[in-house]
Amino acid sequence: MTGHEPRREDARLLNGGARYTGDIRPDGCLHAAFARSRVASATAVSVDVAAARGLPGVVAVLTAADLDLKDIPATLGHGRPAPPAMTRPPLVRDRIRYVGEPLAVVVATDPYLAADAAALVTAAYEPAPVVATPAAAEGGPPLFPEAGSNLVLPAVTIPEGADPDLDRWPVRVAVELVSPRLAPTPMEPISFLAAPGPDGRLTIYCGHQAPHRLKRQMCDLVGLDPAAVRVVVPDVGGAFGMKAQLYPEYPVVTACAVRLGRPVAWDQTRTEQFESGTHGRGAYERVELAGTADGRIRAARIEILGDVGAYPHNGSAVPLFMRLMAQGAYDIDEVAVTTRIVVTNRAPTAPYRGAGRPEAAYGMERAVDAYAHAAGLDPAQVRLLNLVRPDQMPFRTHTGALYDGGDYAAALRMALDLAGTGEVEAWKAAGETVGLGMCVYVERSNGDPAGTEYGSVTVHPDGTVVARSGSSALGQGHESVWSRVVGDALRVPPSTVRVVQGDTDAVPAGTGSFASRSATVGGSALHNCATAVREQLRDAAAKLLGVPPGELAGELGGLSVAEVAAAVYAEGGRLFAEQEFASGAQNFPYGACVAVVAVDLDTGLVTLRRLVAVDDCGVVLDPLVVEGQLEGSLLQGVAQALFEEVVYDGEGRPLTTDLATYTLPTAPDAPGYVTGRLVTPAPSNPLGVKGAGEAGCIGAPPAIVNAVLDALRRYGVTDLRMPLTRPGCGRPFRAPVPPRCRRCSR
Amino acid sequence: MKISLIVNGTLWQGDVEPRLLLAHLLRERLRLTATRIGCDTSFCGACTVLLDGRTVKSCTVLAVQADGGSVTTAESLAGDPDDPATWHPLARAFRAHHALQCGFCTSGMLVAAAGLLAGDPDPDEDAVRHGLEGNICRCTGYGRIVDAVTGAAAEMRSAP
Amino acid sequence: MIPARFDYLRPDGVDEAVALLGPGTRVLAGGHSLIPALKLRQTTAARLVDVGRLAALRTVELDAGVLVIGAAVTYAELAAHPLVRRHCPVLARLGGRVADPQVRHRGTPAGALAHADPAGDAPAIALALGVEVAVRSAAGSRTVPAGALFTGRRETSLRAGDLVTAIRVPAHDAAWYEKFTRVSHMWAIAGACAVRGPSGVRVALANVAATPWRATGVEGALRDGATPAEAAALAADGTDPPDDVHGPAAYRRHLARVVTGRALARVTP
Repeated sequence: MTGHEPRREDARLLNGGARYTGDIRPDGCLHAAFARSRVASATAVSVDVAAARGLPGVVAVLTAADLDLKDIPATLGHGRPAPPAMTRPPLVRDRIRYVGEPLAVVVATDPYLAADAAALVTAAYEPAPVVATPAAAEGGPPLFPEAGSNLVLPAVTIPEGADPDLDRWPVRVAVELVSPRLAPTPMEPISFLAAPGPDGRLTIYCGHQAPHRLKRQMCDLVGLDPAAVRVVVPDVGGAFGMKAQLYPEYPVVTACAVRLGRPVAWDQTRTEQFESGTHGRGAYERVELAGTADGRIRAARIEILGDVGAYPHNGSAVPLFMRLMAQGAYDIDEVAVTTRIVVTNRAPTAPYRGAGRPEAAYGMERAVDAYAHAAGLDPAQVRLLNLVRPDQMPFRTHTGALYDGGDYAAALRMALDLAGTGEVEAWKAAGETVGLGMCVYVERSNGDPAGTEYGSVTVHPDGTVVARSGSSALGQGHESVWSRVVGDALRVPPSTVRVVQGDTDAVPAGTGSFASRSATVGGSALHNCATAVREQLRDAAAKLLGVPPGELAGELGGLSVAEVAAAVYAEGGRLFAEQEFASGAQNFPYGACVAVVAVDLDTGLVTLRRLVAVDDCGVVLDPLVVEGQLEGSLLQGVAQALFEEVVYDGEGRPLTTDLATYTLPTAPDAPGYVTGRLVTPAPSNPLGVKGAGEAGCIGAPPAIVNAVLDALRRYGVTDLRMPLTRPGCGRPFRAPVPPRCRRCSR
Repeated sequence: MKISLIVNGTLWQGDVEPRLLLAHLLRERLRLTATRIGCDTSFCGACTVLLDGRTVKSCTVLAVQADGGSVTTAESLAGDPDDPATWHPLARAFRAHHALQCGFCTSGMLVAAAGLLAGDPDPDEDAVRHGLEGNICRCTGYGRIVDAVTGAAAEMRSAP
Repeated sequence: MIPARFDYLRPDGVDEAVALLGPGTRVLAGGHSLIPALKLRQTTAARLVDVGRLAALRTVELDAGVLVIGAAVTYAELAAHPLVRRHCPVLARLGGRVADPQVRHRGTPAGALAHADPAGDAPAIALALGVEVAVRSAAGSRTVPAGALFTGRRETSLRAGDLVTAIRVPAHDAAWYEKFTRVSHMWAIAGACAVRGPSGVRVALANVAATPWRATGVEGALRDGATPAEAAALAADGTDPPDDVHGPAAYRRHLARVVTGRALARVTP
């Protein structure tokens, strides 16, 4: 398949036909609201719900003691156990660990009454010490006294025993960096609806990235029979990782619906999303590089400190994703990466778009620029000298990744060409405060190589096709792209292919849409099934015509799909294939990003004059869909560099609790995008595709920060913290203040 | 309090609490769910509707304030999903330019764009960007939305 | 996000509106400061008196050289009104730029003055223009100069029974509001309005103190013959800027000088 086809889902999304979870309201639906902690750390918590229970319209007000729910297990992701004491009660039992933690649920006949009642819930408690920063976590008062410390993962170095001697090299640099916490902020906050049906089954509607997993979790935590639970994912208003998580509100609302025998809906407010929806990033990193005076980087020592907030959940895996990619796109003789993960009295973290790759790329790309300047060399030349070469592919990093192909240097050269480096030099010569910065990134998609995805393809007797996928869409356009993948492999028009997704009753198994795995494993599963059914069709056509399959004239010997299908079903056969596909390998998209910025020295305002991205995500299934992913991801990267940060004060209170305090760009704040593309097919899946959704937010932040440093280096500025226009870094560059402001210094 | 308003050309009358927000009236009482709530604090623009011909954020308007007024929601821009010829030019342009992904901001974006073009049929890029500064999209990076609105404006100007 | 309960009254005239005011009652015009605060339950009201449609508050006229802007006139109407564009371009420009189009269609400058958010643009501009706020109460009519209106963070000298009916803008020769934000739709991190009039230049700043801040030091220096640049260097004197997620106090003090310099450059020949 080549070229762009108008998206099928657009027909309803543009004509009032979209249905997100919050649009679904069964008759008699009750509304849940949560009372939440206003302090970050407390013990001996006792919740008083009497006043709330007394309000008219209130059906139930329930606390942990009222609901017999299992704790949410602590995890390091991918089945790696976290300290077992760090489990999470869905409602606070005796200890509060962050502002926004749910204390009690109110269920009322109307959302207005539920909000009124939730406001009447009070809590008595003993204040406890607050671990407000990751730096304070180690050795600080433990959030989980039974765990003994706040370490989720004590310092672990890979490769085991690695201890490179950096001092033997003439050029050595060290950078200390923060990738601030970010709020994923999909435009649809979370909605969750649990609706018992007359048949005794429970249907859960939720814009979730992994419906089959959500079903298993609800059955486990609430104690439900899997046969009696169905999870439906309606239209989803963006996710970016935030909707792949197990929120404590889910089992609570589910339990309420079961207990009350009525539908119960919960619509998260935006403030709840900022306070208790998961955050991303939140990584602290020290990168040391050493090498030769002519620019060859020989050794790297990298330390990662990950803050996963109050409970180790899926976010605990992010520092490990970061570790995997810490070597970046470079061939370095010796690398050691030491990782620690801690809990703090802040909202729990989870993967957010990029999840570990932006943090890793930011560390390495800032350090490579520092290396180039220490050696007095051009940053592009240093990169070209050290990038992994095509003839080294597949390339095994010291951190265990197996890069699967590509020409990293070609991506950088193309990006620099598109950026117009000559014009930038002319601006500089004319005295403008402009800078150019770059980033070469390699990332990994399909995080769990053994992870499977379900697909099936059925050709019905009338010739219509149904494709079922365990990977359901969050806005990426699966209906359109899956119908084309299946149509192409079956040699039928995509318009005849109906795509079924996001329904655990209609799709027997599924893993989900996250970690840039949908096309890789979900698309491949459907491709393989469609290819198998095509063979079934050809065999049947040959049999009907009485010729060997290899001698069919044309696709089906002149027969239509419907004619063949009717004959097959008439004889009691069927045309069907299903598969749980695993690619068995991660794949490694890569690319380069170049930013050209102008800096207003009086105000610190950074303006993007040019933002160039060259990406190689393997075979492109739909160019406009991939371009849309790249551009949207780029703006999230721009916003990370310039605008966004989740901020807590010293008492663990969140200061960014709505869109007035957490700054998102709108149309006038967004740059134009210049993009280029390389195509190196992935060897590990039949479509040759790699992940396309993360690239922009990985490449843009280091490119922009490096560009601003390039513009300001002549003023003595050598370090900046993201977001750049934030306190201290948007400081008056001409004013007599030290280059490291108090918020920048650690 | 008893109120009456015209919604998408049809009279609606009913009794509402003074605190009921226009967005909730539209979504919960009239089941016009294309008006979506994304932020609660009049920043994101997903709840944008026209009130007496002007774009407003319906999460920050009381239903009683709209009493006697005329409200136009994204539903009024809708055509037959199966027949693009019936779609609003903005909707056709959004699809052609791939100016939407998840679609959650889209109805607010369409209403904001329609309001913009009603006042300025030929906006330049800067005017389009500032005309949409009350609407947040987290998926597209905005460039394709700007292109779509500019493209639709050209089509609407040349329409008979 | 849902407000607590309140009663709602929509009087037919100014006298009736004034009669309804009292403790626990809040005036509702566009509602774009009040409704978000009610939704976040940061403020409460027993009842709202909606004056948004009162014809007497929806006029713009020129009264002996003074521009009189009704309290229920929205930002968008301000931007489009020929009298405002001719006699007070700085307010017309604000009407086309503050926040975003939807907010401008509902929000009113008079409401912004009554809300008295020190981060707001309209209060600082009003202070620099030397506007008077026309007020009606059971006791009769009076005017309050902007300089006597703002008493604290979101606090004014208005009393529970007061209804702002209009803003009276005196004639001036030139005015400019310079606002620094990182993204287009946000409040000023710092802003400065400079107004040149018959008695010299007046300067007021947004978001550098608990109230909109009159930079008297800058004005005095200009009177004493300082250059605009020299005068702007004094802009932060006496300010007490907030230290928040949008910027630390020291940065805002610096920005105060920058935006003041830029505003002065626009109004000084």
